[in-house]
Amino acid sequence: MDSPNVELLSALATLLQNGKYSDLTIVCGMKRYSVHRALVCSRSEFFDGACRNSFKESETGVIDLTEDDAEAVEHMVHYFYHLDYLNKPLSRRSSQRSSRPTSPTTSRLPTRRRTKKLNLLMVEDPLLATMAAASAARDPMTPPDEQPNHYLESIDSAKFPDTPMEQEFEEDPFETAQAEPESNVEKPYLVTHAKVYAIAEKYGISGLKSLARKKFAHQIELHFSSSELPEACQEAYETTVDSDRGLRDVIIQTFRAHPELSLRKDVELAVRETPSLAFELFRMASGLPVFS
Amino acid sequence: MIAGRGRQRIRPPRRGLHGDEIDFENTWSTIASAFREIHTKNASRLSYEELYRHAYKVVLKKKGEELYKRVCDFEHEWLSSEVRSAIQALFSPNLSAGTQSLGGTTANERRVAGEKFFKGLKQAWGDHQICMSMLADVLMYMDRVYCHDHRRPSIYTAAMVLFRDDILHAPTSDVDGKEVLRLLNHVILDQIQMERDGDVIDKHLIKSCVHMLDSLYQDEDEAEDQRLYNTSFEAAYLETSREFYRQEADFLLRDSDAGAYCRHTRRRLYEEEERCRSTLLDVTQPKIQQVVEDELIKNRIHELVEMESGVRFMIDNDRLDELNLIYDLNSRVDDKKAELMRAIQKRIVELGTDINNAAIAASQAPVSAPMPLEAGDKVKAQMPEKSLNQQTVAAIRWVEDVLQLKDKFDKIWEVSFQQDQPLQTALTRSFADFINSPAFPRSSEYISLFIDENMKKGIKGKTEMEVDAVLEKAIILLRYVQDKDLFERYYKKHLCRRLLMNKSISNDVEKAMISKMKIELGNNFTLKLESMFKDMTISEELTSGFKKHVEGLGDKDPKRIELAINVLTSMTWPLETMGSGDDAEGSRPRCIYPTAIERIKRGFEKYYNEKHSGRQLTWLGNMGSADIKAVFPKVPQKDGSFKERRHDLNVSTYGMVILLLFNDLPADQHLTFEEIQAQTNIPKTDLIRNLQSLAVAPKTRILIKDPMSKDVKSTDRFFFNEGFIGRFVKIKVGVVSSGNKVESDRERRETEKKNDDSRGFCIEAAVVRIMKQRKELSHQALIIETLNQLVGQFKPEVNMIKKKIESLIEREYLERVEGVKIDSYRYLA
Repeated sequence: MDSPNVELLSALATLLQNGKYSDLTIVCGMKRYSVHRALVCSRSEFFDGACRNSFKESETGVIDLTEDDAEAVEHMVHYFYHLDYLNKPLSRRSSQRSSRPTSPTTSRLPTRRRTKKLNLLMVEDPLLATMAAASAARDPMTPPDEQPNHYLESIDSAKFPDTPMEQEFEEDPFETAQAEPESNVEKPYLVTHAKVYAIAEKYGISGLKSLARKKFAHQIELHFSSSELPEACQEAYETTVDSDRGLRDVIIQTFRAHPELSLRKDVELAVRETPSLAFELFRMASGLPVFS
Repeated sequence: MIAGRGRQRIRPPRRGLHGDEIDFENTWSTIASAFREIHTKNASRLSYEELYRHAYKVVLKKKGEELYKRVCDFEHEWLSSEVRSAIQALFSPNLSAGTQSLGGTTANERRVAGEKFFKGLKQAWGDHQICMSMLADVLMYMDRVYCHDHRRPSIYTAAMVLFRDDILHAPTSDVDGKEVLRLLNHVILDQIQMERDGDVIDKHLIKSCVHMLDSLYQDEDEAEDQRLYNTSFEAAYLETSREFYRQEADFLLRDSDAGAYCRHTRRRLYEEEERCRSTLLDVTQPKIQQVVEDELIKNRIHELVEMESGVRFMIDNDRLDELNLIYDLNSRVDDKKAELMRAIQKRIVELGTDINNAAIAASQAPVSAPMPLEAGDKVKAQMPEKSLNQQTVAAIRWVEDVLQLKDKFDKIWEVSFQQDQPLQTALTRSFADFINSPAFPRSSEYISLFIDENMKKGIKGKTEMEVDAVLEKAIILLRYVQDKDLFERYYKKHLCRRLLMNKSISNDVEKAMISKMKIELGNNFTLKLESMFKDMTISEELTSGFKKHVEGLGDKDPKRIELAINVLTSMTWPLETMGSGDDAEGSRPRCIYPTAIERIKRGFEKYYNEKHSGRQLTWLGNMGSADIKAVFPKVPQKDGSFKERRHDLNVSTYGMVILLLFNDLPADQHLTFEEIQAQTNIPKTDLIRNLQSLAVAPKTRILIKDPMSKDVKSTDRFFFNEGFIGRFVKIKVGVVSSGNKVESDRERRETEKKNDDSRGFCIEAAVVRIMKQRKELSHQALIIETLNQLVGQFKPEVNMIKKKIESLIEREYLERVEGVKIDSYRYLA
């Protein structure tokens, strides 16, 4: 795994960790991230705008994002340097929430089947498919600690050479490989992904946006019965504009696949509070196009 | 703070999507005051993140449209109050003075006012750009979401449009209400005019204003060619420039010479190019170049070329630089350089015609001066040496003049025309035109004569290189000649004389010439010429062989006559042109030779027949010459001496035959013309000519004619001139027309007739060759193929080809193909 990609990725990780050459600080509440303009501004128009104009930020070199969700900010910064988030224990603070899969083998098979389904879902929307394809290009940089998984996958593929998912695996190995580690049976993180999606949209980080969407779609399939679902739906519908179909389509799709959701009390409450969600569900139920 | 959030059920009450009006107004007032700060350059106190967040939230709450509108209104307000007044403060009457008043303001005042105006605009534009890019960054989310979804122009673009409408399209405070944009155009044009007039202007300043125009568009589409620069300024610029250069061209054509005009035009072109680079935009460069080229060159090139100091003047005075300028200018507007080419060709033909006319005049001058009434032939007889020499001189003069002309134009072509290929073709064509001009049919003959003269005299004492140069010149001219067959005819005739009369200085040079012609005109052309040389070599061998043979006979005769003989193949040598033209071929009367001569003649015939049986020898007495030792008796001389005189006489063969008659005659006896003719059977014209040189020409009057007159009549009597006085021991009795001279008109007609006859054969041969190969061919195709086949030899007239085809049909070589639309012929085997 000593590939050039890994070399770059680990170099970036080190840069974030020790803040060397940092020329910009992102502040969020009590947290300070020493980041690099070259890396950050080239990924996000917002940061670029902050640094190139003669506002306070460019004079002080500090961007205060306290108004944003702290968790989302952390994931965003992490993404800038690791091209991923929530893929391994985060900092000490968030480790209590993120737990690693107890045994890779137990989760493997079901996960894969679902992966295939999800990918089909993506194909329904060409825009999303292209976004997924764009993000797939970065996926080779999966960190080295996934090595055992790769090994096991190859055993699996030897077992089921003719299944459609196998073909999929061959066509797009990185997508599957990347979906693998983040599968988390215990914690849905639905709200987290929705927030990351929102912050990516707010600051115009398209790669992070599609990544968050993918993770969200993956998790909602696993955890549609989770109690997080209503809040995640509200979050998704309120942090982006109606024309942003990324999470909306995933949510509507979930409601369609699982009509029983509408019967849940907490879901009902959320639908009541979120008119645009309610409207889209109504359109769906009436057999109309959800969004035109 | 975040811990446990995932499971949190108690959340702050969510705000609905409606009922945020107060919220929006508050947010907007925050944003608006921040924008004001930005416009007043106090942005460093503002938090970008905060502004961005406000705008983001507004858009998220579906207030994008409202926000967009407010921003536009804000900018409109700002521009039309703050900025416009700043700009208006810059207006001064001096600005637009150029168009309105005739005097009052100097160019300098106008320039200063203009620069102030530029600076103000530049400043306003620069500020607007910077502020708007900051605003656009703050409103990035609105651009990305609202503008994108609703297909609105980005806020930056919208603000640029506002600048255009609120500033550039704002009326000036002037009475005429001209808008700022037009004033700006006017001032820029005014300054450019100042620069054209020689002033120094601030190019950078203008350029920044030009850039502003370049980044604004005429309408909302933002099509590439709808930039304000293109639609507003450039059009006006091109129009005023066109007018300016039109007037300038008028002025220059009137007041300066062509060379100065060219130099000026070149400078203007360079200036405009430079201006586009430094002051305006590069995109204008080809357009303004087009304008300058149109006005100063294209529309004027004819006048320019025809100016008194135009191309003709430049050619005549070797103004190579100026010709180069004209060439350069003309090639800018016309790939073919038609005007220049026309003028050059015209001049070449003019100069060539002058040379032709001079040659004709020179060859006729002596003829017409002393004896205006005499006709051609008689003139020739009476003023033989002088007039003919004059003609030859004219021929050589002609060749040299033509060569000089060619040198001149070659140099012009090389130095001034950058060795332009089409122009070279044109030059060649023009030379061919006047050389082959129907008004001047003598070029072939003159070129051949030029070679003849050089072979006989010209190359004496020259180095090999120089000789080669002379030959090369002849070849150059030969290239222009269309009727190569006519040239061949003359060349053969002249070569024939040179060879038979031993006039050539160097056989090697002759051969070098032949091989040059071989390269230039092909093997066919020189075949006959080469066999003439072969005949000469064989003849030399025969002569010496015969001499040995006679010696071997043992019949030692002290009075034996030595014979040098040239045996000429009859088809190869142009014998009919050798002065016996009066007689039809084949019916030449046999000359009666004196016995001594007759004997040796028989001897040779016998000797020759032993070597080559079956060949017939025809003796051409009219072409030979004889050396005679003559003894004149002792008679009292004018100087009182009284002694025998011996002379070596070189006479023609006929002359010898005539003189030998007097050997047998008593001193006081005479022979009449008729007696001489009867005894010798020499053709009458030859006899007259020989008797003229023996009895009339003052220096070689070996016979006395009675009565004494210039003309020889059949009743004349001839005596031996015992009292002949010759100053030299050796005397050459020249016979008229023994050298290569220019032909008389009558001779020319004959030559041309013969040439036409032989052309007829060539055409027939070509037609038969083609038809034999193709079996069937349309009329048109046959004519074209025939022309193609013969192009190396001459250019046949189509009429002649038609006649020859008719004649071939009559003789059943061809037949017409019946029942076809196009006239066609079939070959009959």
